[in-house]
Amino acid sequence: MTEQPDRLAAMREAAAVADADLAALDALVRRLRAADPARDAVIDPERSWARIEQFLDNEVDPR
Amino acid sequence: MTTGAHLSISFSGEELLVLAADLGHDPARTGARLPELWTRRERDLALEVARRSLRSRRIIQAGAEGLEVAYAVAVLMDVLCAPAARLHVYQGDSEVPVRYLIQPDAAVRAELSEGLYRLTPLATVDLLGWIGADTGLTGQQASGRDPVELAVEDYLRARKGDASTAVPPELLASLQRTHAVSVRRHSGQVLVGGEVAWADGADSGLWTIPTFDQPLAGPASDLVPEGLVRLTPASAEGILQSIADFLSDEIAA
Repeated sequence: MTEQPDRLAAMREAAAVADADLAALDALVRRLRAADPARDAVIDPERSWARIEQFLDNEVDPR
Repeated sequence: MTTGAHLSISFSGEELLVLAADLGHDPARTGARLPELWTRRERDLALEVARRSLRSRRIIQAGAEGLEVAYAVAVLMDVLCAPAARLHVYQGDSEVPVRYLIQPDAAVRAELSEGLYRLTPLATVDLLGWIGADTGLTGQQASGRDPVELAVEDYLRARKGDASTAVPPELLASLQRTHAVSVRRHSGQVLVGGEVAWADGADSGLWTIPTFDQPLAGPASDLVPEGLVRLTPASAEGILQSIADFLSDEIAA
């Protein structure tokens, strides 16, 4: 019997609720990266999925 | 979100994999892995749940050009997945290090704790202070004693707490409290770096110890001829300087 991914993720999600103060983290990171503040963070869903697929393909397939 | 006075943020391994892929990095660079026993369907499901979790945590949000990763997290992932140098801190015989991923201006401390990866950003100029805090290096001076040479067998038994060896008692206790740091960085096409390990005896002071039996598995260059190992009195400043020497001038500045 393997771990249930949805149950595990729900537990992790609950544990992560406490660190939702992204604004403070954002201010800190902008201070650290003052010389290079730009960062393109727009997601290309197709490319993202292709990277995930490649990662999964490269891992040992258990079945 | 705070660790003491420090801001940090935690992610599951699945969330890290999704974020890396979303930001154009190789997910494998995160160091996260999926449980080996999960089926492909379970893996797909876990990653989909992770994506929903990132949306609910507002780390991924709709922007003017589509879905975007929060700036702060994008920067943390950039340092995590594309560092100029990697520094690992090992406590005792633990094979799970605290990782530091380092770029010239910013670094990220990545610690795996209770199944979550906690990422803490820091200024690279503060790196040695963080290493000192992680390992308890707080200004200890060298004891002024002479180096001690031990047979490899005695040394290895002493590391396991065997009191029947020829190791002096005060050294035996300190060998139960060890730390090790490894540094790896690219210099052109060449991977460079090094390791330093030390024992911390409250009464007997700090001693640099061999790295050949440390989790970081460094080269056996600290073995001396005739099957002996050498333990050398050290200061906190000296150990931290050794670590700084492994980093490039730019990063250690």
